[in-house]
Amino acid sequence: MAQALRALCGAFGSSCRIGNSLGAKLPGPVRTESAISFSGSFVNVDFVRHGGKSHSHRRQVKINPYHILPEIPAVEKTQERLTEENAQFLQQVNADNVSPLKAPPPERKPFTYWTKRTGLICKKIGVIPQWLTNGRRIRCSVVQVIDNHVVSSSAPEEFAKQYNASRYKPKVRNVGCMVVGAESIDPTNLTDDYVKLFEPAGLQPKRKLSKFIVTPDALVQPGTALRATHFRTGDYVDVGAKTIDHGFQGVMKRWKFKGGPATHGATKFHRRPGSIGHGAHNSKVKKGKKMPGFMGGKYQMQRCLQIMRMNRTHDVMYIRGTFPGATNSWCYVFDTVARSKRPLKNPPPMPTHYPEDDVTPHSEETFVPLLFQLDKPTIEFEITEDDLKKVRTGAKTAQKSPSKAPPKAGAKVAGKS
Amino acid sequence: MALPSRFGIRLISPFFVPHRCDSILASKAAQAILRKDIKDVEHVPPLVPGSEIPASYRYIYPDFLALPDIKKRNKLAEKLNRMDMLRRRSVMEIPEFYPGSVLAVTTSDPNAPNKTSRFVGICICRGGNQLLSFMILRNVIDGLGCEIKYDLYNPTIRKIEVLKLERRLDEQLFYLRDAPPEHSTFPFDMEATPHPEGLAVPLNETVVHLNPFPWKTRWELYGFRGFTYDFLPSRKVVRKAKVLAPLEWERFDLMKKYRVQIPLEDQEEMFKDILVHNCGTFEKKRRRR
Repeated sequence: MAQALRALCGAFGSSCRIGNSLGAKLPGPVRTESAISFSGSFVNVDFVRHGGKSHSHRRQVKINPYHILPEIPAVEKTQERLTEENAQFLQQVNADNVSPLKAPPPERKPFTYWTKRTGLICKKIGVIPQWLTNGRRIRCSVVQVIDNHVVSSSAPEEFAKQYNASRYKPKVRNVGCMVVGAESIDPTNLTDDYVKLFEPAGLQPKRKLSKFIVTPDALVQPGTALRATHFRTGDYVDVGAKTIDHGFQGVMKRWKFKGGPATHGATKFHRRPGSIGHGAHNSKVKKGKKMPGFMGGKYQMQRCLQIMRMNRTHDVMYIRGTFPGATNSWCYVFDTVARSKRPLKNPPPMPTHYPEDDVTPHSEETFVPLLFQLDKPTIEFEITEDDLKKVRTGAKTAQKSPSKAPPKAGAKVAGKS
Repeated sequence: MALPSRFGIRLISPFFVPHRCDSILASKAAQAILRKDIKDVEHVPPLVPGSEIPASYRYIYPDFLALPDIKKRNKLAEKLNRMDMLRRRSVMEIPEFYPGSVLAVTTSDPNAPNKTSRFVGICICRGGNQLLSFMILRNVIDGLGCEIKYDLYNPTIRKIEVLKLERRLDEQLFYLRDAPPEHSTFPFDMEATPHPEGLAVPLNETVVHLNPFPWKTRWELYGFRGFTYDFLPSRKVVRKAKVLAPLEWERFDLMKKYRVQIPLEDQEEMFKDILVHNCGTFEKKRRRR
């Protein structure tokens, strides 16, 4: 674990202090203003799209990925409260802030087969029913894009330097990365170091940060806002989130085993798995045997979900189907990896949607044509010619059967009874 | 196989939600509030002192209340849901009804010969919340009991008629399954008895005499007021009924009430939109006249 942590910190500059105790406990808030260098790199490695170990059911020991803790301890908060004059001064500084967006934007490139755009950090708001135009009810999970901004973006060369010693090296040959933040918060309650991370982008500090791996043609200028219009209605997306954490669970809840009998002399055998390996050949426990253990709390992806509806004012997307995670929890939305669903003929906005590009004034809500809009008149099915034929043939057979068709033996018995 | 009697409690049908307390609709407070129609806002007490919203909205529009689970609530999602519901209500009118009143629902059905189907029955349950809200209608047709669950906001529903507006002693009438069939048979050509505006919604205090044992589930355990029965099969069952009776301290558990109900300030927010919607529709009706 110590090696992993060192490798992790090596990415952000060698001068980061960790402390001696490298166990489950991390040292407290490390407030070293001079020791840490901010050379465009970023601190958080909360999530990397294609990184990650193979499927293991062991819970990862919780290591706080921030070596800079965002929040000031409660004791110091009271000391560092602002006076009114200082607050005014800060507002002035904020107004004079030099945003990187004032520089001209980089050249735009077309969407190709290999491009990988950024994802969005969203919040799962709820799951509600919606109806299709044929009257079928579907489940849609509602997702809100909260205040997403690009905090930093690094080209492939820089990105390779960051992960020089790590396992990501072969994968990131021609791939850059972007750090996106969501939900801006009050900077007065934060440490200086954490606020400084957002200075080069000219942003307010964010609550949630995550890193997305993108191809160099899809890099976005730091400071730009990412909104729900990054996607369009009808697009297919992959959604990743953490499943609900159930803690250490037995075999009945975790793997849906049947357990033991309730009665008939069963003693202490009501929720047990039974035998786990026996016999001459298999006198051992096989690898991957389903056993009790930690359930949930794992990052998982759900692929190929369609966006059925979008609300632009609230930045809300209605995605058909469900994905892991409880309501009010974070999730990540990407373009699909599925080849058949990638919109090559009707390419999405590259690298992201800018509101200046809108030629026509957009409507507040957009729908997929398959989805029923609830303010439209009720669904009525038309009577087709096939239906009329069925009715006619049915009437004919009903007329013919008593006279022409001879009654069967079964029918007689039924009539008698 | 003879299982010990302690496993008998689990036999509960999937739709049935055990409801041990008394009916909210039949309570004295509800009767006082439901005495007048919505139009006479002056006579109905407000939901919160000083607000425009009448307290009767709690009982007339229970589908506007969100799920009272704090972990699953989100204010923006609730708002968006409400807007969807109002959109549907602007197209199709969902009338005032209660469990116990007789309804007729016409839906568009692709498999029916005329592409429409009509069902008449007594509402035995009203549940769900927001877009998920539903009702269950029950009728006995040719000696066979039929129950259909309708989503209130399903766009295939063309019309909902109230043939007889009344309330019962209980909020769930699932025990009609074990009652003699005349309590839940209604002809399909039943004529609607109009309910004059401004009058109280009548409380039907009929007490149903249930069939002898065996029953589908053990109705006597959940404190229903609307039925009687002759005897119980054994002494064990009676003893168990005492065990499952509502505990006395539950009446004083304030936190339990808080968790089950939505606070009044939030209710006010939820009913604001429907109040505006109703005012608009009343004005339209007046103009037509």
